[in-house]
Amino acid sequence: MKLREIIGSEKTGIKISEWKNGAVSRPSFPLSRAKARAYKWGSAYEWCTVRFSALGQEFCVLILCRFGREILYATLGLCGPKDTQVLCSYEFHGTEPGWHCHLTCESVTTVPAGAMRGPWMRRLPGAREFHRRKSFGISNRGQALQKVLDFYGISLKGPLL
Amino acid sequence: MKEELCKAFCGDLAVRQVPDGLAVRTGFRRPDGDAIGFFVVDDPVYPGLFRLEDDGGTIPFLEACGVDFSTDARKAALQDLLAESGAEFDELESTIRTKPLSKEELPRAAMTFVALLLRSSDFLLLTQERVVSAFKQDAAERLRERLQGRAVIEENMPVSARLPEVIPDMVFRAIGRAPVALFFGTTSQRVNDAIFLQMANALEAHDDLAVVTLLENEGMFSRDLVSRAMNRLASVPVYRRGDEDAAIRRIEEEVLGRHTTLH
Repeated sequence: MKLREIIGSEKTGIKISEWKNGAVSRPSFPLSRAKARAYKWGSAYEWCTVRFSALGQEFCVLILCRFGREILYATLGLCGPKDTQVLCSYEFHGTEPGWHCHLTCESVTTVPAGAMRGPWMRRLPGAREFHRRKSFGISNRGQALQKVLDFYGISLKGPLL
Repeated sequence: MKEELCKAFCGDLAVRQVPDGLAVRTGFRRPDGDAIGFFVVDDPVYPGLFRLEDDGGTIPFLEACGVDFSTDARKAALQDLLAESGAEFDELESTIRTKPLSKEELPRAAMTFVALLLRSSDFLLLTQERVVSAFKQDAAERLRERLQGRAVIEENMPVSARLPEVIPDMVFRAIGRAPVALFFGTTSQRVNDAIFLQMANALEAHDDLAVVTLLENEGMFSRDLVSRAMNRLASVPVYRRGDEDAAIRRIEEEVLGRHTTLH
């Protein structure tokens, strides 16, 4: 199973959490290598999670935003029993030239669990390469959520009967 | 020459307006490929003065990658780094920032602040290396210490000429005992490799051997995979913090037999 298949697959059981500010509670996105009880983002950060099932597995997207600095991180993880394998982070930050991803193109079986990022991930496009989408274009939670749902191919509409 | 050097240092510098102030991108990069950047924001207390801040993500991001700032050594290293740069870490907002600065002080302070952020990212580099290899290196070292001279130890070699498809991380051969093929369970793939070797031997080679996988943390894998491994392999010890010795002893027993282990 690879990231491309996950993004292209049909998603079911979609659950979107409430938005909160500040520290991300550990059960919301468990990472065994993070020693802190919660990931201590400041109160200027707003976050929520989107959980769904696809290809017989459970996934979670952690969305972290700081609108005043034009920052959005949308991190897709494959949920294990007590840990998460981070597969992709779709991002914009004001200090980068445009929207980009940190991802692995390899099978999820090769991805170590428990860390937000590692040498198994690559940046696309490359840091010095052309970035197609250069503007942030997001100013509220609704727009942020929709951007992430679109990117990961998560549709809230049911299939046509 | 000076012009070329200036171009090399500043050519990638970019400044964008964001709602909170100015976002500045430098030509320096973190190990993950993103640029080292910072923000220039108005000081909330002193009108007309400014602060340089990170995005409020440097420390939370490092922690989410496995850097443990609760240890005395790491805490002290971070404090030294901040003190050298005249910056502070606001724990409540998880933000690294300078003291209030005048417009004239900004450029020089920016150089120091970038150096601070660059050096902070070294914590990530160190941890990334450790993420991949610390468990493996640590466990391999303990096994070498424990079994050197009591078993022949081979690394990254097939356990048998009839089983060349999957290469174990370590093979232990003790006199009068079946060889032990050890896989470090760093990924699901390696646990599956161990199961594959066991099955290939049972169905095709029929060699007398034991296949063991050492897990760092069974929570990293699905319950199904752990069950499959436990039900098929000779042993699936867990190298849990505080109980590493027991895991090493379990492998030692597999290599030498139950009554010849050291205590």
